Amino acid sequence: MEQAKKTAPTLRNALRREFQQDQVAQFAIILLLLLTVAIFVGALFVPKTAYTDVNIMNQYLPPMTDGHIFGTDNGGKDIFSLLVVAARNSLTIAFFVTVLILALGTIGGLVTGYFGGVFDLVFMRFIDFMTILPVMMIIIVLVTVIPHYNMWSLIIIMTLLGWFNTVRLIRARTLVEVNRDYVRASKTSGTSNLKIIFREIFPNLSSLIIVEATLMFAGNIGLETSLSFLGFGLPANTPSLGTLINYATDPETMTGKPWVWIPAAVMILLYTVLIMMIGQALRRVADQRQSLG
Amino acid sequence: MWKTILRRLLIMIPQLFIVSVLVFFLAKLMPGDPFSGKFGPNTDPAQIAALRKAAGLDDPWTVQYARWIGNAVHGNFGDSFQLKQPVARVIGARLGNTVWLSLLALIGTYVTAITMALVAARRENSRTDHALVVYNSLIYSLPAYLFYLFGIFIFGYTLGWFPTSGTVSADANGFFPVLGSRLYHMILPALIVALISTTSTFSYLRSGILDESKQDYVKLARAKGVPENRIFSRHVLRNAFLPIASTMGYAITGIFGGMIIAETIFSFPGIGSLFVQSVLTRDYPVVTTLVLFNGVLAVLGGLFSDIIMSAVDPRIRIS
Repeated sequence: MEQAKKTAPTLRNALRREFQQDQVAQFAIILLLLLTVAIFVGALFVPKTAYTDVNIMNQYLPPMTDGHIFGTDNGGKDIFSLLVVAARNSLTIAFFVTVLILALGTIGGLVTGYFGGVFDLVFMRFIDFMTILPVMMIIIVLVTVIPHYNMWSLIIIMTLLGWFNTVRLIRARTLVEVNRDYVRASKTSGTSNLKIIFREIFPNLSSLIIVEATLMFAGNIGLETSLSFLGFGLPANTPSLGTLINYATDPETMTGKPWVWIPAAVMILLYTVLIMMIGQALRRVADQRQSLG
Repeated sequence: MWKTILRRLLIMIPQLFIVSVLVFFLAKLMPGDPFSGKFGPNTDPAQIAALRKAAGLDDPWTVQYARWIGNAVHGNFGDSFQLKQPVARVIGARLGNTVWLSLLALIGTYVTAITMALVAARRENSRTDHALVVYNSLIYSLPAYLFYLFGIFIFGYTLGWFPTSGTVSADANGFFPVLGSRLYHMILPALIVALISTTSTFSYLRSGILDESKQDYVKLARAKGVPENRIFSRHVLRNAFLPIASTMGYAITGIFGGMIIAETIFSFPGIGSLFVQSVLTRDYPVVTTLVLFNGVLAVLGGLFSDIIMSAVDPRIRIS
């Protein structure tokens, strides 16, 4: 009895087992949580003046001078405060975009995959078409032409142009599930379609969705910081890790004052690598044939 | 075969239509018209209105669209606000640079990815294999601009091995020195783009080889006494290359689109950096044309992929 309970193939058990087997992933998840909490709590203590007020006298101070741990930028602003706020902004955007894309993609994929038919055919033609479009260019154009542009506009633009692959993935997996016996049995016994989709098929896709979510989160940090790096991401008065790295486009700053841009670059590197390490363990949860347990 | 290509060409027509309509509405969203900036503050607004009417800017959007697409087909995309030149000429002047850079990067990508996949698949689960798999997932997850920045920081500025901007140095004269200088300017960006774009080719080819090696026809060939190398090159590789052939069209358009960031960081005067500059200076005719150009290119890339696929894999043609 005890044994059966232990090996029950619930998502929670599978997660616990894979992380217990993988010390790298354990380390990564602890470090990631600590770092994220530090950033979000730390950002609360950074006054807005720290990244809006310009003080020419303190321009380009090297690290460890006058209490500026990472030095200052061209406006005399403290790089460390900027870094904390920028990281919070970039993480917030990546989080919301990921959640919204998952919601759209999962519902879209489940519904089209489950019902099929003409709607599925037309919808997938549309998705196929959208995936080939030059998304980066369209985002850049939209960002520059939209009136009253702010952080939420960016989130919505990134979501609307980013959910096509998720829909495809979820639909493909739904098509497999629809032909399984449990779904047929439910249909025969008269369970409502909505209940089959969300209470029966959806839980079977949950591990896949978690894997997708982690990788997409890393990807969205990359996309948002790329846009901000080019100057088409967050509005000017809202720092992003990309805007900090953008200082490096000036050759003199890149080589002579590396403390301005390297911390932000390292932050992105660190986040992406940690998320990848966790993703490895999660992928084994989703595909139990690769399990280490 | 021809039937498949013909059907695929027919699908392309509505695709091109939708792309052009999308770009048209993006262009309509952009502020300004061909008369912006041509008049001083003292010009009579009624006169501008009359000019606008004469230019057809008050027509219904269907008429405007028809006229716009008619001009575009004839290569007339209007004049650049900034450079006061026809857009086609502005883009044409830089297109060559991007084509050469992309071509170099694409060749580099395939050479590296195929080599890595062959090495990895030959020794499945070895240390080399694991290292290559980890490398390819790392470059896939990390944002590309970090590689460009660190590349130019280390190899361009710190070590001074490569030039950090432009396409050709001013003191190069004669055919071969210019050619050499051009290649020298393209090596670093092309190499970095190539080294970080290998993921999809690598993983398709690696898993393709591993899957095919376990098929019955390989066992049969082995049982008949065909040498291992011959089994590998004649049987396994041929089939494992199929999925790569099909992604080639998308790879071309993908690498073209990826040049936006690479060209900006390397100050390389191609159409990617032109796009960024034009958006920053609000030069909308150029922006619109570049989006249209890349959209059409993407549609053509998809067409190209499907044609290659049906040429190399007869099974596709039946369905």
